[in-house]
Amino acid sequence: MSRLGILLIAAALNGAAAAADGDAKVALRLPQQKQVVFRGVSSLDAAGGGPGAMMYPAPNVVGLLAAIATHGFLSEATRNTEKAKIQEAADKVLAPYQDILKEFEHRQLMQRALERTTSFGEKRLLESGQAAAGETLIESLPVFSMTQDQRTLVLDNAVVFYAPNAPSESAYKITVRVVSRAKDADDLVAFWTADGGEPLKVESARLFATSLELARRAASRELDKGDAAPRTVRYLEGASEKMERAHVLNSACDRMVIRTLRDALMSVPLKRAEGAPNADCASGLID
Amino acid sequence: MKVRISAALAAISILLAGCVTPPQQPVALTEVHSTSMPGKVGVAMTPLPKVDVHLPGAGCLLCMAAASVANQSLTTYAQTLPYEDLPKLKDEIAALLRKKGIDAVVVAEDVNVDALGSYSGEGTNKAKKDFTPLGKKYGIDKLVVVSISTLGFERAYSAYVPTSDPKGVLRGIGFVIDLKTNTYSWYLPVSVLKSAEGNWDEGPKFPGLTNAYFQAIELGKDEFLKPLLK
Repeated sequence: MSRLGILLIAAALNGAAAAADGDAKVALRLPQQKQVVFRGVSSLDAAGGGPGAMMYPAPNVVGLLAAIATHGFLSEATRNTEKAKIQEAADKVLAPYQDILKEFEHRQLMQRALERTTSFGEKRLLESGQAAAGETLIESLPVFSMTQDQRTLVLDNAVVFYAPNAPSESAYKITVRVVSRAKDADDLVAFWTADGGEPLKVESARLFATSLELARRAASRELDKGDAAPRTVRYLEGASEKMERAHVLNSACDRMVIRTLRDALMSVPLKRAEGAPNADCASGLID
Repeated sequence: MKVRISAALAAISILLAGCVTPPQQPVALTEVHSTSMPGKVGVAMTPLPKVDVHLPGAGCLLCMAAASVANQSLTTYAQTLPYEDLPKLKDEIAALLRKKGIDAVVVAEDVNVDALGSYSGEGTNKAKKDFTPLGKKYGIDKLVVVSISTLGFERAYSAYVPTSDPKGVLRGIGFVIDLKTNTYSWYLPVSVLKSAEGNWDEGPKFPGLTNAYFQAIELGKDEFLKPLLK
């Protein structure tokens, strides 16, 4: 690449960062897929076969290589099938919510979330495929997961910012994960599905809005660089304690924002200190 | 002739099986307080193993060579990973015991179990190695030991072919031994396998697997500490 090309891209990158500042006009483009994606939280810790022995039918070297190749192909296919089955089993947690989820579209999610965001200037939704008109364009592909204890939603959101009139190569891309605080209810299905699934939709919109705010702050370089060295952070996901190796960017209101080893951002709930959260915390996008 | 050979093979199998020492069964720690652990209690660790990639199932020489080559970049990377605060686990355990009123001291040096002599006494939960000299050496009545045998990544193989993705691994045992009777009052095998989230093959820094490695360390530490919190 020429030096001029590099300079142009650097300039455009600066433009993307500037355009993502708090006063920028933004347009959030709807994804092509209408329905919001939900999955069950799964674990692959127990996936894969154990060690084993194999006797290859090998009349000669070529036969041995062919036998090993066949064995490799079958083993990989088996592993992929197993992973798909694990995810399929995890997705069963969503069975009681199917009627609500099949009606829950990106338009509804993103409109609600945009209304919740506080750090953008003028903001609007764009149809899928529609071009921005001089605004910072945001593209986003959210995937929600529900923990197996049904107490928590986890959002993984791939967000892209395009500066106005800048080439698409200069886009700022980041993945943001936001983990909601676990809900306490005797009947969690009744809790999430009350009022036509309103609590589920509100929580999803809160997570999505938080992810957009975090992505904007990262794009406009407002986030701290965090600790120089990563450390293992413990947080809550449902009733379970989870761990992530990450740089801690900030910690407030029993939540922590971290940058993972894959350079993704995460906003995670910590064990809550005694007493109710203070007023500042209660007014946040997500508790 | 065939019958004789079969009988001979059966006899040899029975004799060899008789020689195999049954593995120590887990012994649950029922209570942890100054009455259940009277006297002075030492807390020690055995030397930590090298952080490495383990490939069980790649049994034959050629299989081992092929599997080693296939996982070379991960092996090179694994050997750069730190132990984090794993060496301080004995300090955490000693502090926990002291909180419960137990007179606990940290044994600063690593205890090399392999260098201990064999114990000839027999009975339930008797250790195969003779730990009794350590009582006099460190001036203690009981010894809590954390012995980590495997640390790093593990990928199962069937001969030449991997049957799993690599995962973060920590394996070891925790035990409490009475240094007068050489008897275990706690024996806990710990085995943690943690998979990378999403794709694992992200060399040269393997961020997903690095995360899994540190998760395995934390989960392993929790496993050793949990019974002592009772």
